Amino acid sequence: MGVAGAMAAGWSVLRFLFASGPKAHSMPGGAFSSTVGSAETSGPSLAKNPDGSWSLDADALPMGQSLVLSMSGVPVLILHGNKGVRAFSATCTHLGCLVRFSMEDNQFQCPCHGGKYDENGRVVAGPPPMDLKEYRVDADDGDIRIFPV
Amino acid sequence: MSARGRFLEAAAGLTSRAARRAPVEAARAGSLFWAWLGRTAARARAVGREIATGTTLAPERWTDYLDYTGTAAAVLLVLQAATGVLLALHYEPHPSLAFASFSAVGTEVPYGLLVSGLHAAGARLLILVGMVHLLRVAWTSSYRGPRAGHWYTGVALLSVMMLSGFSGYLLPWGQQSFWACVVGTEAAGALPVVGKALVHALRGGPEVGGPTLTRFYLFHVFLFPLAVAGLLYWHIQRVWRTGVSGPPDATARPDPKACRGCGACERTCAFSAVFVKTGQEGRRAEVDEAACNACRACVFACPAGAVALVRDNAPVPTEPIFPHNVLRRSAAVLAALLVLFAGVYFFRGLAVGHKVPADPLSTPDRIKPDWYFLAPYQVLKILPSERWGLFALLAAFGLVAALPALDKKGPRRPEDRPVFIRVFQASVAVFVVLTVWGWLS
Ligand code: HEM
Ligand code: HEM
Ligand code: FES
Repeated sequence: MGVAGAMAAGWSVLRFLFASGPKAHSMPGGAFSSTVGSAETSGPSLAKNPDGSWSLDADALPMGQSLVLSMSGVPVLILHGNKGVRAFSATCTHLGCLVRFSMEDNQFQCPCHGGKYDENGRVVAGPPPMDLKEYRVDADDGDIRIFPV
Repeated sequence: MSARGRFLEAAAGLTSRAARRAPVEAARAGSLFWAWLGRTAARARAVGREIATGTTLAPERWTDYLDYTGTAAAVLLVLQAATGVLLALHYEPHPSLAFASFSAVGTEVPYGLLVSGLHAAGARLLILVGMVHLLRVAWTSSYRGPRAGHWYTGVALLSVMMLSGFSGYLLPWGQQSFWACVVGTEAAGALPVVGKALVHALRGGPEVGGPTLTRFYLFHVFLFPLAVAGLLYWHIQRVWRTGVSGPPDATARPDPKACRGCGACERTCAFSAVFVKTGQEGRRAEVDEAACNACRACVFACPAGAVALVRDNAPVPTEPIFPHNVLRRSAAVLAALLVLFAGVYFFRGLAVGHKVPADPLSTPDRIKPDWYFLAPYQVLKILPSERWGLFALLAAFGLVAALPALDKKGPRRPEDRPVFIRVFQASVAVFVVLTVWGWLS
């Protein structure tokens, strides 16, 4: 009895120890995107230009829509509203959640603690201490260019 | 008598004098081994002064079972290390592999769901038990005098355990993990001067990402466990040296017939409650019963074994450590394990879980930290500025941590210190309300 019990327990232990985990499975997606996980592999994305600006195909952002994209890991919110295409830092100045733009209310809203910013990125409600930073945007001939700093 | 016989006789003796004599007598009888064993026993006795007596205080009310929460916490902590090491065999700390390897442990590794469930539920339970233990020792002010160090090491233990929980929460690399880490590390940025640099150092960069995971993994499986092990040793060693505190309504009382007036009790008393006075019979110890905290330091310090704890002129009940006390503690540990296994069974369904992999470009609608951070998180949410929130939290922590320095003397019976008890109850109520509020919002 005891021996059988010990062997059963030992077998379970061995199975745990020698189980082939995901190391043996091939992982889809790039294993090297260190900041952004699998999220960046589909959908529109920003391409870096030699002058340090970032480009987006204008077709990817129709009127009345907004996107959150990554500039080397820095999330930027690009929105196409009635004042044209504008880009803001997407990071809420309170505790770092990512804001969304609501076309209905014409404001940025943070899902975490109710921070709200007007269409120019100025705080209008909630705990955020600072306004959202706006990036300079050049939107001509089918190409949206965003200039960091 | 043989050397072994002498050793055993001395080891059975309760006084430290007998303990000191044991190796000498064994050596005189010519046995190096028994002399060595005797010295070891004497040394252990100096650390475990209560254990050396073979008896401890017996529980009197059911609430006295809460005294065993310390033992339950120690067992849960060991279990945490065991399951943690097993998980580390299968876990891969890389942003593109973490979530998959975490999930695979639950779905593909035999018994993996059990092990990861034990680790996840065990962490939550361990911190709960640690908090109950803190409340238990605070309720009767058991942190005074010789036990101030117990409290400080205990607060450090609980803090490191909560940091372990915070770092562990990131490892599955789910949406909740990721965004709780963003908000949690960002809050540290509100500290004046060092804030920004601290956030950067914690994250290994400006944003939460791969370097953050590497760092948190290092903290979680190496630095924090190392700190916990050291603090745990320190905490338990102190507990052994002082024994457990006496009931709050008891007092030390020297037996004038046995007292030799040596003054060891007076020197050891942290409450200035024992004095040696010269009367008709010579020098005798006397206790100021109103000042006595029943800490038992003099009980263990008296070389004549002349001091005992009494209540209403009757000795406070004691019981043998083995088997009585060991069995009671085992029962408490079993109860904790029972709750743990029930937790594992229901946890996966109840918890937010880590079902969606981290997406650094989208914040989920409701982000929630682990239960023990809900209250602090709620404070950050409701106070108008990050900095005020952080200061409020640090002030609350500081008050709790410094309790032995703020409350050094006076009665221990809860009935006799209504102000302390009201503040205690109010603090617990505020914590619970904030936690529930945080959970619901
Ligand atoms: C005070 C002790 C500890 C606490 C409070 C703790 C807490 C946690 C928590 C809360 C998680 C996240 C689990 C989940 O939410 O599903 C976690 C994960 C993990 N912990 Fe620990 N842990 C402790 C000790 C350790 C030790 C000593 C090791 C290894 C040496 C370890 C290795 C791991 C690993 C590899 C994971 C990721 C895999 C998984 O989550 O299943 N932990 N820990
Ligand atoms: C993992 C965490 C902890 C472990 C394993 C632990 C372990 C223990 C043990 C085994 C005892 C002996 C009495 C008993 O069994 O309850 C004890 C006593 C004590 N602990 Fe802890 N403890 C922990 C955390 C804490 C915390 C958070 C505090 C308070 C801030 C604390 C303060 C004390 C004090 C003051 C005593 C002396 C109580 C008395 O003699 O009446 N401990 N601890
Ligand atoms: S992080 Fe946006 S309001 Fe708190």
